Amino acid sequence: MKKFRKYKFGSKSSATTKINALGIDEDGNPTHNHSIVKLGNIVLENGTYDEDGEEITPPVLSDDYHVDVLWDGDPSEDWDNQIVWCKPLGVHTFGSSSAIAEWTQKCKELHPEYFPVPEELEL
Amino acid sequence: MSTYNKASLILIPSGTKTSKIYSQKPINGDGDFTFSRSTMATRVNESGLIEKETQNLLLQSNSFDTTWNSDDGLTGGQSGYDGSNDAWLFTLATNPAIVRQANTSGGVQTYSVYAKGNTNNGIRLYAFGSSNCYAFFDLNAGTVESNQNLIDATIEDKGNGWYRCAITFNQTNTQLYMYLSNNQNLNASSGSILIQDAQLEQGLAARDYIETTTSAVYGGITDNVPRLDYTDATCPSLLLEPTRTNLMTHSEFTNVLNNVTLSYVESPEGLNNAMRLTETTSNSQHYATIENALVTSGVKYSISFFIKKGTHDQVRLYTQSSTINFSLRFTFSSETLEIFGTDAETGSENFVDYGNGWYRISANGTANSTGTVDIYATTKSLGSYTGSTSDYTDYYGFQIEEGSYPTSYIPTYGTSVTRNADYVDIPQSSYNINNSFSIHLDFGITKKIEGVSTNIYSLITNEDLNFQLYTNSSGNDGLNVYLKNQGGYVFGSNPNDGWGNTASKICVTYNANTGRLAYFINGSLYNEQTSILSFGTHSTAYITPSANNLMEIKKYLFFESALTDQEAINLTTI
Repeated sequence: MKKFRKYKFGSKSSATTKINALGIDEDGNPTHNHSIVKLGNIVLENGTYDEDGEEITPPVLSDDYHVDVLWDGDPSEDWDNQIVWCKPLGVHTFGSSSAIAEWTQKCKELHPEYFPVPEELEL
Repeated sequence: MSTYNKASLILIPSGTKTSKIYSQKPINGDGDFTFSRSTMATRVNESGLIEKETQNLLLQSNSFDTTWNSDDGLTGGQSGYDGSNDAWLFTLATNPAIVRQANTSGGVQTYSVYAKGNTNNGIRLYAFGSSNCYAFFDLNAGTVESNQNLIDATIEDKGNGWYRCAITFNQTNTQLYMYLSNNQNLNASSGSILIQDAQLEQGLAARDYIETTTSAVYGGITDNVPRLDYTDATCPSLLLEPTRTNLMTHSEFTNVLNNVTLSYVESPEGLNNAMRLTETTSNSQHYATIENALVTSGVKYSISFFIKKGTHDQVRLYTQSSTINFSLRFTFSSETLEIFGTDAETGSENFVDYGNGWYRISANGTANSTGTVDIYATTKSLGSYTGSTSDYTDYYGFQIEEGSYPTSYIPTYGTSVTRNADYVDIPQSSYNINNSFSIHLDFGITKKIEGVSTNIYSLITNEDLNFQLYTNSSGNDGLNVYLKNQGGYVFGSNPNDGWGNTASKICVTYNANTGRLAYFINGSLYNEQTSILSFGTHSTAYITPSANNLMEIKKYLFFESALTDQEAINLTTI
């Protein structure tokens, strides 16, 4: 079963080192069946703009380098120190419904605060 | 003997199942190709409609006494909407009467159930989560009553008193409920209704019901399902595409409306999930903001969307100029597409007729800064004018992807989504390459990234023979054939024409007696060379679009003999 996880690294080079350790051939092509998307320094806060499109405040970018992996099987434990969890909307995912469902369920187990429970059932 | 009879392997894509593409020859299955793509995708099906993954994300979708929680009466074996005896009598025992299931799905989704009045005539569908969304349905009048935090609520008459009730919303779920209600927007204090076949799915519309038991079920173009694509054709092609991400977090939905109203009309999917933007009468700009994509300064993106003429003949769409200064103007009557903006790539603009008045428009733009970019979909333009409530334009399927050409539509419902590359593996048992051979490939439309040479077809024996087709590294068009034997190149062609925006047919023949290797394209001998090859033991063959290419395969033939020049010419003549 494919499993989806999100990671962040202190720099692009440390991410690249970790990714390459999964296996590459002499041409730099991956020798594994995992799918990797390098999101880079993601936007944490959108910029603001006036009505003419001129920037008022610039977007705030993450200092960390973000990487999403669709693992072909269980995630590598070597990557656990870089794993991140977040609310499941407004982010990047892979188009595998079963993998998204597993990731969302795991996220809820570890971070129930991202899944608000209704305070009171309305009659 | 016809040329086709000589082939040991014939693949004309027409029959598939998950992870498999059936060959016409051999018929014992040895020549069937294996296929993989570890994500969902979309295609244009034989009806000319866009087809997506289907799903039911609920468990035990019609076994309400299992997995679902309820303190009320649930009695199966009732007469259903579909002629079955699979419906359930839902009877109040405690007030309020509830049947519910935990769920963690997120984004734009539709929750539906079939229901029929009994001693009560109402049902309330409630999706608890980050927004808490619900609607009351009157099963006597067949109407949607009060609702909260929904994108849409629908009730569809299924006959014999049955209705399919559905709510569409955008949130992360915690629980999905059905309440027994009366028809006055209140939970009922007594009575019963009939329920059957609950479903939760991504998107704006309730599609055909899929039964589930202990896990969610995915169908349609889901993981590892090959795509026979009928875009602009009556005969299908096997569509192979590279990995691409639709960076737009919402490709079919917005709630950011600027002096327009939003309703839903039939899309290129054949469902009511296209946006109809209708002007208000204010004297101002009339547009919807489609949110949003994260882009990186200096990177080229392909921007695409579907549009259908409403009342304006000329319509213009814009991107947020602070990130990508870009706009496209399409004139329906003359099918004229114009591109504007300092970040727009003139000449990249293109459109494809999807039928029923829908066009897919695309063009390239390069981000001038790093950040998020919105799309501004207008009814006419961003100019200010007094609108009319009878003026509208329809939109669907917004996509921004890194690259110089658009790939097939990738739907998104609250997150950006990556569709992984398609990969075809040709079984070793389907070819015997230790003597004369011929290979024929009939390609439809193909695309690549300029300046990049990548392998699209390989046939490799254990280090002795390595036959590969590469895209040419320069320009948009061109294909190179390489053949390496025992470590050294024995054949290499210059890039040819005919590869790119037009279909092309190639054939490579090798005669082991004479050592003649010949390369034919589109009905002509393009290049030839003489070299005696050493084969070794064959090991693998595969076709892949790799990271950069898109291609359609209409036909693949392998011959364990050298075709004559005339046979090769006949096969490759367009």
